[in-house]
Amino acid sequence: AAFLTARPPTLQIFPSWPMRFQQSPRVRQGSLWSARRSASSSAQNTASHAESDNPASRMASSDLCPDRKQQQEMMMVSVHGFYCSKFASSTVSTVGFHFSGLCCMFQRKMTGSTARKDGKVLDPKRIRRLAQNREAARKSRLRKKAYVQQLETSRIRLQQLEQDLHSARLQGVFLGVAGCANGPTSSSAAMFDMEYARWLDENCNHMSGLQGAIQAHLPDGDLGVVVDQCVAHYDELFRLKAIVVKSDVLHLLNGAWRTPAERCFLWMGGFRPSELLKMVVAQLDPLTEQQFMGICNLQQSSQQAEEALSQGLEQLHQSLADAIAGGFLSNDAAVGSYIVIALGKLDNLEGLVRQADKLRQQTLHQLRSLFTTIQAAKCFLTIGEYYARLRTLSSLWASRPRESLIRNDVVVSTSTDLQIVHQPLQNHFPYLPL
Amino acid sequence: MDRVMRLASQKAVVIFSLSSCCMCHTIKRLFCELGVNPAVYELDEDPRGREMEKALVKLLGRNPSVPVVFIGGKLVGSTDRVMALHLGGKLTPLLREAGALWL
Repeated sequence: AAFLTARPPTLQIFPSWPMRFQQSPRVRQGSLWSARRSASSSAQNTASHAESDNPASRMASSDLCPDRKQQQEMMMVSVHGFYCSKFASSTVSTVGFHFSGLCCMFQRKMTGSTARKDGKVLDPKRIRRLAQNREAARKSRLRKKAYVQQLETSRIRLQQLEQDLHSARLQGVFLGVAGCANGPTSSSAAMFDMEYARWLDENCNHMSGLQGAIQAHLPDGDLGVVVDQCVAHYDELFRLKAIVVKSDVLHLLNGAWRTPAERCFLWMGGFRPSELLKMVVAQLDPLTEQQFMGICNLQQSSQQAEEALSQGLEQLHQSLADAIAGGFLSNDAAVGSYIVIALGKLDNLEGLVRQADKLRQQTLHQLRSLFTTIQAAKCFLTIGEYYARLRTLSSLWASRPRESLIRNDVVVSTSTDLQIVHQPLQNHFPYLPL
Repeated sequence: MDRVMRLASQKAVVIFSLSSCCMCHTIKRLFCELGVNPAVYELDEDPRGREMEKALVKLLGRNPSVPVVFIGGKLVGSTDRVMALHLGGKLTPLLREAGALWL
């Protein structure tokens, strides 16, 4: 076997021919062998490997064959292989003649009897078979070459496409980001989307860090450091949002940068603080009386602030609608001014969304100071997990099968441990990173 | 400026506003939600509104001029400050102190 693997690839299609030559009749042995040799995948290749045949044959004779007879066979075949490669380009008849001659030599060596008569009788058929095999092999080689070339071209094209996409993204020509219906995205919006994606990745790391720190029962000081890092990471997000709110507040408001399920809950370009507080309170038992009061007050104040901001937004909507509708039937000069007014109104949006973000940021900071270190750790882990689940929900939603396969009895687990999805759902969507 | 300060000290809660400004509307709504009855001065409807706006900008040290909130005659600030106070639970005590809230 080792002898075979040392040979050029052409011989790997003869896994057991040494054994065959021992057992089958002499004539058939010879013809089998020669037929196979000619059908080897690349006669041209054996030409290049001609030199390797000899050392291989030397190897064969050393220790790999169990008995002397086999060794002789192998030696003969290696020599024949050499001859085969030498005569690869010759005509059919020459090769056929040569083969048959070689086979006779081979058979005489094996058995000591003369089989020349038999060899001559089979010539024409063998010649035709050899020719057909050669032709088939040639066609097969051409097909393979064509296929490989196709693969190569596709690979190059794929590389180029990836490069183009990357540079296009950097330039801000970012089509197909969640909100296709919103038309072309501004470059600052595209920039923000990229930064946000990176922030999400980093947030995952922070969440893993938190979980690890909790499970490792770190002392308060160390755990506090990890929690504070999480909070600081949220501050980073608000810094990013503060930049894009100046250049493209509508992008923040339309939620194109969030996943579909998250957009359901979007309030003024982000999460609604009172909703988050309700969720956190429900998940984080037990709380002291003082803590509970603190959170309730925080929730109430937040709700009042949110209501005020929502009212402000409504007033803005109204005045914007008035400005746009203004001067429909007036003269040209007045009509032109509605754009100026409307743009001015849109600018006011920035102030409202900025206030909403400040509300969100303050809520998170208040949570940090209201809780003990371990509670705060669990709190922020819960928040991170909550939004991760929302994003998972979005993926499930986006990849659900057209005909709904989800039966009524398959329910998403709502237990308070961090298991995410009931098993049957996993079977429907096996590739989701849950 | 004098007029501003004089008006500011006449009632427990005083808000200087512009009728078209949505942030002003927000602040007004917030105080209403808290059960406070603020004195609101719409500077775009006041003949001396322009000077008062300028005075307020100087007082705050930045634009925009409105909304500006005074509680108990003392300057509290603009939207940022009011929201932060409220979330920190400090607005309500301030209002009670000034007699704007009775609960």
